[in-house]
Amino acid sequence: MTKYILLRVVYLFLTAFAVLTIVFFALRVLPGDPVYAVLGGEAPPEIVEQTRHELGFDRPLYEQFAIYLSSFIQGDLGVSLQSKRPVAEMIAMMLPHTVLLALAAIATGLIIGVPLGVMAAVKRNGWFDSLSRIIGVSFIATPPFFVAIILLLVFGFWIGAFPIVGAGEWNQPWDILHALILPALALGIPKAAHMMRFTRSYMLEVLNEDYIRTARAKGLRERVVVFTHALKNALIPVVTILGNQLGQVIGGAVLIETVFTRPGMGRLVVEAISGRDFPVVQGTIVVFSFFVATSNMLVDLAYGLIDPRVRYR
Amino acid sequence: MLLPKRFRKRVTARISPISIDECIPTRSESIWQRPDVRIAVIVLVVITLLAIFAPLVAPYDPDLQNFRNRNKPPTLDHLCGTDYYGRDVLSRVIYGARVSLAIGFLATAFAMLIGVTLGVSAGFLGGRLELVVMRFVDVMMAIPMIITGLLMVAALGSGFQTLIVAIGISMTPRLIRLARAPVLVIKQREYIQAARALGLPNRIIIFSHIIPQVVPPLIVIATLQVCHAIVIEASISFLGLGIQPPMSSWGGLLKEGLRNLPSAPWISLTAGVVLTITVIVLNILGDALRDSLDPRLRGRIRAQ
Repeated sequence: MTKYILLRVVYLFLTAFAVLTIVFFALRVLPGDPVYAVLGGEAPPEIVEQTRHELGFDRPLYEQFAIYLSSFIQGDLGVSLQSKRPVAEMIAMMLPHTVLLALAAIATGLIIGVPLGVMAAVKRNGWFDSLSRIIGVSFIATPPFFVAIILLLVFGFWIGAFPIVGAGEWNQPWDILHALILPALALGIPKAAHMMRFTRSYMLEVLNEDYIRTARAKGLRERVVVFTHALKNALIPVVTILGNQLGQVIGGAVLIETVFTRPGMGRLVVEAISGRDFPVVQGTIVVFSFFVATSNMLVDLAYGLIDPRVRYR
Repeated sequence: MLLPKRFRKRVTARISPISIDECIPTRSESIWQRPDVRIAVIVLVVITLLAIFAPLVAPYDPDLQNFRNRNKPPTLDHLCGTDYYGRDVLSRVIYGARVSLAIGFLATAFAMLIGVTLGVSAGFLGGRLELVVMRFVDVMMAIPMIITGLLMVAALGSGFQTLIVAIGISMTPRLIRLARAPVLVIKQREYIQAARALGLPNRIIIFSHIIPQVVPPLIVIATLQVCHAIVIEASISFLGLGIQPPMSSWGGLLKEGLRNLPSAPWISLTAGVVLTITVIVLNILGDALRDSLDPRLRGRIRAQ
């Protein structure tokens, strides 16, 4: 087990390194000159050359990469070409908002999705099951940013119960929570539909098992059978999809942050990409992928904790 | 390790490749019998026809501006209202369908082309090629698809063709995995060994024995990917990095609608509803086709 965890952690860093390498070279090999993005298209050639030299873009690629890598390892992600602020500082400011949003969305998905899935499975083929299937099919495919626009319109503009812009200040937890509700719902509702479907289908599988019949034959109450005997086992596969979901949620956060004009990694990366702000793009994407890879790893490890039957090789 | 039988399957299911046996239909039950599939097909056909015949169907020229008619709510003249420049929203959504559907299908086709080429060669030839390709795929999978798409768009520039390439590339890692998995199973078969023993070159084995078996199920799986492609296109255009105005696209309309949300919600709502319906319909079709190809899942559907 320890060996397995160590291997996974090593693998995690290798992935981050590979992402960094790919992004670094992709940005430089593909067309588009960051120097012009900094100076604008009209700058005189000698200033362009001077800036290029100051930014180090005139050195050979491998040299640029070596320099970037050595400072990256020391925690220095470079300086933004646009705002001239350290990238690490920008990410440190934005990351908590995005992580909070992603976790809130996953929690929303679980809190809404799992109970509905259980209910649909228990009342199989009843009206609730049919209704849940229709809702499930509709919401699984709905792009979260459209859900966000509807929520923003209805609860933000028409009812006016929630803020329409921003994420609140960290020293006011209530504001943070208040501003988090709509975005978390927008991202979480499609996830809930997903989880509902998964929970339902695994619950149905488990409810057909012999030990469930035994539990019922023992005279246990249905509630106990469903929640302690069946749900515990049905949740195992649900947990395994969480890692995958977290990756998608982070991708979705990019758009949700735009809809609600929230600060976050998504806005940061979109603005950096459109402004050809190489250091910010590199930094944010590496952090993104590190986050996704870490969550995948944690889920794989959690799998073993929840289910003692799983052995790692 | 000895696990209860039912569990053995579940634990390995996450890592074992799709066996080709599971991809070949064993029972000729038509998915046509499902009402949701019928509705989905009809809706998809309608949307496709609207897109193809947009110049004939759209009530107005999508670019025709009318400043006396700005941000007007839906009326009989303009069924879905008008936008900030007085353009007819319905016409713009109909023209937007062309962009979304075309990019969705073409990007998926592009991803299929690269995915099958790399996936099949990696799976069949193995060795260092497989190692490099699959590690690359692993790494790419750690980056959310939308971010890869954005990165590609930033590098290649925005426009119709570059969007197809950008979205196609961001979908490729998934398809490489999907294409390689069945090849690993097929290449163990006796007739492949026989073909090798006969001295057939790899090229012939791949094209006459592997591709014909791998590609048809993959095309079905690819229908599910089309809706991803459409959502990514809409997302990129929504962020302002995709299709540029005045060309109409669903993502662009959603963006424009968001800017005018309190005063003209019908812009976002129309574009969003049509986008959502398209994606739902493709999802239903993709699910149904996949179920019909995978007897393991089919049992579950029947149990429901």
